[in-house]
Amino acid sequence: MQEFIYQFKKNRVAVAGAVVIAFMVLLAIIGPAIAPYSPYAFVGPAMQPPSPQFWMGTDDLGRDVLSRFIYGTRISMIVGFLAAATSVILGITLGAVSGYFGGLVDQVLMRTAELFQVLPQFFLALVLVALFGSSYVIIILVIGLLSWPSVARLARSEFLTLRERDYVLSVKALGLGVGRVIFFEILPNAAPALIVAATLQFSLAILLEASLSFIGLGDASYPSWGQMLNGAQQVFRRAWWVAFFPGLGVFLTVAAFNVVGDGLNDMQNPRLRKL
Amino acid sequence: MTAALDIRGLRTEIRTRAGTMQVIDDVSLRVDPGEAVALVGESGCGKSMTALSVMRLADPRTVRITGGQVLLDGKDLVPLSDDEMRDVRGRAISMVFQDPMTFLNPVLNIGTQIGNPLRRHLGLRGAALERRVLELLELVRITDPRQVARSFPHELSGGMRQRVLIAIALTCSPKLLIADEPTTALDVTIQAQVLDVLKTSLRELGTSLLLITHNMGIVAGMCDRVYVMYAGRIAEEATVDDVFAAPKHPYTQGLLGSVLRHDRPPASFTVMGGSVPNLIDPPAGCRFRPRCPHAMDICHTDPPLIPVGDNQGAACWLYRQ
Repeated sequence: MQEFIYQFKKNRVAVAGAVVIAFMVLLAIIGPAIAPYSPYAFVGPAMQPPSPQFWMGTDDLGRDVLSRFIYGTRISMIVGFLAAATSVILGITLGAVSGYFGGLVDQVLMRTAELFQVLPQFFLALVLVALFGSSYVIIILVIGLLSWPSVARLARSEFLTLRERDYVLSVKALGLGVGRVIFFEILPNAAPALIVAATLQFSLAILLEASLSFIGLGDASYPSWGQMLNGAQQVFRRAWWVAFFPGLGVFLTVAAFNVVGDGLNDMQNPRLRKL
Repeated sequence: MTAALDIRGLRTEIRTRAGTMQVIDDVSLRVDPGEAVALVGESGCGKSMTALSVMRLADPRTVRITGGQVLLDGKDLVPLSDDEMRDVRGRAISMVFQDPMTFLNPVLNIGTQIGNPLRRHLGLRGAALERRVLELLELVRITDPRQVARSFPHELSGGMRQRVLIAIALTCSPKLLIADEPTTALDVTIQAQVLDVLKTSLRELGTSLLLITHNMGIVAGMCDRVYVMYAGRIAEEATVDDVFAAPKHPYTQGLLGSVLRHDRPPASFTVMGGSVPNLIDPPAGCRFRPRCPHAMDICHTDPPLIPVGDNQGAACWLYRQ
């Protein structure tokens, strides 16, 4: 672990990304305690520019943008996390089974994964959300179900090589069951690559949720960054701050997850490692 | 007395694109309770394949057992289902492998790995599990068991790792331990220590040993009886004393002639010509015939295992009555 931190610290960009993520997570957790106003209340004149009273200004209905931003962080992070978790769990399970058993199981699962990959993700998400309604549960499931194939393919390729390792033979010689071999013996060895994939899934999920909300298919009951951007469309030319801050939130978070993912990836490549 | 392991007429084949290889061809061997038996031969003669067939661990997509019985304590393992076989592995038979580095999982600590068969077969959990893990580490004479249980494989030396593998294999006090070249990857002094540990722990648990090796020195030090294997068949069976004093099969003679020994002048060191035949298209009759200095016409038919003396037998026409 110390070795890990030492190696990670050498990559300045990735450290900056990790700081941003830590900040956003912290904001999501303690947000309601520090938000100056309720995100739903009309607390001032409409479309006030940023001022000491309203740090990020107010929107077209006179709500505090900062408070909405803080609550939005919470929603975006939760949706991102749950959607990424859905796709990672699904992807790892199916990919591991596919790679470990091979044969017909592998064929069926991988053809299914390819089918999902060739469908245009965003439009499929649009259709599904339009059909089943736009609650956060549906959005999380749709994002998770649409993005598992890339994780599954990665997990499969890892398992294809790892299943041939000697220690797998030696635990089989101890009579361990298939599930135990896959998830307790092989999976930890595949973890480094899968963690990188998981961070990228997280940022993709946040981006996809923001996109859906931006075009008005989000869950309107709670403000997310995408929702705020959607509301800002009407007033963008007169009140830039209404769109700027939630956009910045999406940009920083997605970029942070990407650079952290890249940093973790580079750490695993000994040739890119500096001493 | 029921043998710990009694292999009768075992046949195993590997299907490849080039054809089917009969890698184990009518092999019979017996290991009595508490006995240590060696299976020796050149690389590629089917020793490891015999072990994998007994454990039923060979890749089922290419390897198939086509005949014979593998009686473990009187019970045939060949017809068992995969689930039943998993209950046998690690509990009644277990295996120690060649390379202690690659046969331990690099990302799990030693305690977890020793705990695997304990959880699986004995259902131990928590403090009882931990206690048993430490006992096993002590059994293989690891001096600081607590420390070692928390370590990862890369933090241990080769000798320590091999002792850990032995501890893992012995967790459930199996009837039979199959050791596949357990010391090949270790240097000579460590070899001696590891073998000593193996020998005493086997005696303590009353476990029989099937030792697969090509090192005749280890055979002399560890085993009671020897089977010499050549090209998928048993060439000779004998007690350790007989095999060194009076090897009967020309292959055994050649094998022992190519071992450097302190009690013989280096000039007597001989090299056997040729190599193990291609098993897709093996020579008819005795498979050693192309390399044998005594080859005769009759060698074109398969030789049976002919008894020579009390406890010795050779599959060679030289000894026909």
